[in-house]
Amino acid sequence: MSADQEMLDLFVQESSEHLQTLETDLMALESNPTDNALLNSIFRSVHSLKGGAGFFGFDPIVKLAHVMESVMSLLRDAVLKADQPMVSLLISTSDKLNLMLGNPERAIEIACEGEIAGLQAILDGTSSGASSAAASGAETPAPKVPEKKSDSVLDRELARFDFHPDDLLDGLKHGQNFYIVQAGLEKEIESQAQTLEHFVSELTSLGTLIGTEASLPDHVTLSNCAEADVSCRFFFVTALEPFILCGALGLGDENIHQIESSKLGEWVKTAPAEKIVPTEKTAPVVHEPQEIQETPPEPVVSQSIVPTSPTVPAIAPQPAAPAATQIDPKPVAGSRRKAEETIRISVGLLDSLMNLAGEMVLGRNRLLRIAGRSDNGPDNSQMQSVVQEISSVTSNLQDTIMRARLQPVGGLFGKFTRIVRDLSHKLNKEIQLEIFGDDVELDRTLLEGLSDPLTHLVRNSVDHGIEAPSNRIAKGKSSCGTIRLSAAHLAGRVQIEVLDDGGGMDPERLKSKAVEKGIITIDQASRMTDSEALQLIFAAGFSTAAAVSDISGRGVGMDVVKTNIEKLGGHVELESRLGQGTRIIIRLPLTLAIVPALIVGCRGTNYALPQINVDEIVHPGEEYPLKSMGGARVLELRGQLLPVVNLSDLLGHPPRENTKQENFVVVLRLDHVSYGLIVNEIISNEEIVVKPLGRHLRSVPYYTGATILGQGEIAMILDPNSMAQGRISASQLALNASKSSETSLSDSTSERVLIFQETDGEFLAIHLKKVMRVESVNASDIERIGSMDCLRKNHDSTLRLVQLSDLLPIKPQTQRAEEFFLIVPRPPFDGLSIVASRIVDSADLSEEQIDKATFRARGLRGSAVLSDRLSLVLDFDAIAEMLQASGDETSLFAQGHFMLTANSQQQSHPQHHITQLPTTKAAPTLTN
Amino acid sequence: MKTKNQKGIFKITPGLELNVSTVAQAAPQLQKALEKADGASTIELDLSETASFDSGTIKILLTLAQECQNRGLALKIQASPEAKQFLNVFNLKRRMSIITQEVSE
Repeated sequence: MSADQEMLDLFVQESSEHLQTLETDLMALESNPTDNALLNSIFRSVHSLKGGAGFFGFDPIVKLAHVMESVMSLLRDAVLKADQPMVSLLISTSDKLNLMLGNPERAIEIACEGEIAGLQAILDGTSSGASSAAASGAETPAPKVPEKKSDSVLDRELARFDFHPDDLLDGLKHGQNFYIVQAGLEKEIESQAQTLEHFVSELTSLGTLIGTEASLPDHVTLSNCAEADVSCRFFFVTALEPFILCGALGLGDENIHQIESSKLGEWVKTAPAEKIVPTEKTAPVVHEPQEIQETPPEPVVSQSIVPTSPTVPAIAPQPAAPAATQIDPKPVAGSRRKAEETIRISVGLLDSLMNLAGEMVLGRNRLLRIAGRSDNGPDNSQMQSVVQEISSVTSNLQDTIMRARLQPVGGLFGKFTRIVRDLSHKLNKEIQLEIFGDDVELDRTLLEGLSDPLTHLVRNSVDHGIEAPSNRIAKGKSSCGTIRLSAAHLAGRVQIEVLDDGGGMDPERLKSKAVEKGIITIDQASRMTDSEALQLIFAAGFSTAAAVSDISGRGVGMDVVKTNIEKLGGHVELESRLGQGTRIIIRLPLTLAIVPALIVGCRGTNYALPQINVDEIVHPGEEYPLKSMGGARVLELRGQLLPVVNLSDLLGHPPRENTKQENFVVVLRLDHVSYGLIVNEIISNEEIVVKPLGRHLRSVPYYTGATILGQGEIAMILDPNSMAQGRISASQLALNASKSSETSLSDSTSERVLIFQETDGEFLAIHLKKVMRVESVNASDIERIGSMDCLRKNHDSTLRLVQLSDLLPIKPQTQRAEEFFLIVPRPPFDGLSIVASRIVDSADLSEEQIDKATFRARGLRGSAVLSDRLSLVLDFDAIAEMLQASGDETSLFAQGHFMLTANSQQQSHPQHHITQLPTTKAAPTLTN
Repeated sequence: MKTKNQKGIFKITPGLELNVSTVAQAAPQLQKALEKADGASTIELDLSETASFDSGTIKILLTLAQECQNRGLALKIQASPEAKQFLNVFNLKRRMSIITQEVSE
């Protein structure tokens, strides 16, 4: 790529960012029309865009930006006040600039006469009938301006410095920023252990020093000068933005004042000979510096006639006086910001890094497997140690690169302000959009994939959710509806919600529409609960909209939304209350690149199933029989019939004589649909690196990608969604429709529990909603630190083993088996793991079933008969509190809070090394 | 601090240091020296031997320039290359003439 092309790409990239800021600011301006910070920000964005476009000679962009900038100048100077039509015009102009930027070389093809005429009319309407436009050569007819004040603040300021106007041309030509940096030499520079020489050297390394002026207050003489400080002004030009300059110089915002390039450009064009200050001569002493003051907000039209083409016009006297100029008196940034040490890198490079990190993870997995072999000889500890180190570094590297790919969802959320605004105007609705959690970060691939579904959901909320103002008032609501868009970290995933306080959905109407469209039968409709009926909106072709509009209502949206979210490895859930509103919840993984997976075997080949979809694994037999019903195979699972699919059939393997090798059914959960997948073997749990399929394999169904397993073999990653498509019919869906899950909107109070044993003694039950996963571990993997047993995990984190017999009145464990299980709770307790010698079963348990009288102890909710066995039901929250109260300094959690240990290298940390953070700020120790 | 009055030029040589650490002592001495400059039309401050410069140096020079202007005296600074560079950076040449040992500026 040529240097010119690189510069052009950079210009387009930066200008796009300016336009994004511009749009957000313009939206905010509508409700805060006099907000100076907003006005300044908008002006700067337009000005920067214009400057860059001028450098490349994109005249149509310059022309449009120029007239917009002129209007912004009037707004900023309080000559005008922004109203809704004006903001709409500015937004429309911003849109046109955006279009032009799409192909700047063909910007002239974008029609923007309407915007220019509208903005020009604003300018003409506000000019106070003085002299005609000064810039006869300007591309845009310039606004009429009053006579220039003879002694402007800018003139006075610039007169402090010795320089030639030509000194400014280079900076103006390159769209650089001009500043006056003002500082007390002793108080603000030397007191920072910095010599003046160093400060000047720093300054000149950041840009070009045009002039300097040092002065003392009037009253200072030789007799009292020791106590005074020298005030120094540096007239300085640089490409740096103000906040970066502040950080680089170690000065505050108040020390740095930006001079508008447009005004300097005008000053240069009209600079008379006397402005060229002779040097090397004795000049009168200037005392007591005049503070840089704001020009009173008089109705003065500021012209912006900064050179707009790469070649700067020669300085020539202009017939008309220029506009009055002023220095922006306010600090250049609203709040002091530290300079961030950031660089731009291409997404391609980041993807390559992620890819390489993935390769390293695969290599690490193989290395771990090889190092763990029993045939490595008696003294394998050195190798194990090195492999653990490499493993730890690899995990850190992978996490760091993954974090580099994360971007705040705010960038995506920002565009909805505009969408909601435009649609609400179009539909004559009053809608307020609230955005929460815009700093939550998500992998950029996920963000891109989320854009369309989220847009659809928000548009639906505006169109179908929020009622017309009159309807709202009639219902006793405020005339202004609210849509809330929020993002938050939850259990190692990101949860995004679209909530509206509109009319909600009527389950009966949904059912009748579904019957009408043939999606379900009348019989199925009659058996559906309200929450199940709500899920009908995700059926293909379903729409209840009375009229199809260009906004929504064609019925091609929600099924696509669901499919797209599922493609991203996420889930969509829906809650709605008639008359009260609708809440749509999207749960997404943080990244798609590395995911936990269950490795299964089928006919001697290994496949990976995303753990997120795996509910449980069942061994079919007498207890859980496989049956045939109307040609479809089903699994009878705890009294319910679950549709099953044979992976071997699905993949087109020829039928085998010995069908008894259908060893396992993996119960896969999609949104409100579960089905079983028959596989031959359960191999392992692994974190797999997702590799995209080659072009030639992309059309093959059922696969989302491929991965390399620890043994070095390639495994295809199965797509639970596409495997279900066409195979899990509506009738089969109805079979498991009654199955409740933790996220179900069902009114049932019954919850699923996992039954296990710590020893061969009592049966214990823990609510599955508290469990993130169950791991099988070998006793040799456990390391003992003091009195604590730990299992080191890949991601530089540690699971602490908890033996319930230490806390509860149950049969103590005398000796652990060679192989046992760890039940890992969901965050925030995922630093712990409960030791189990046997996983017995899972069962439904309602609150009424719990006998709270017979067995009473802290940490127990009581007892219940589950699967014909008496089981003690755990109160996990109480157990967590008991662990915390035990005063163990390595406790990883607190109620509602995380305690993050500095490192998890099997070292105990003194209490003062433990930092308490709000849950929302903390990342889970383990991600699943 | 040494002073010398010759042919209408009153020359002051402050010595090695004229900076923040010495300004409290140097300023009154300069004040006294100026009072002895009767008959001179020019004050020449010799910084050719002065080694360190900071805000104290600028303070002295600015107040000295003001004092000279009040008394109708011209101020010239005899400067080493380092001193000249420092004075130029802070644009003090606007308020006083800077001369090197060889060539008056």
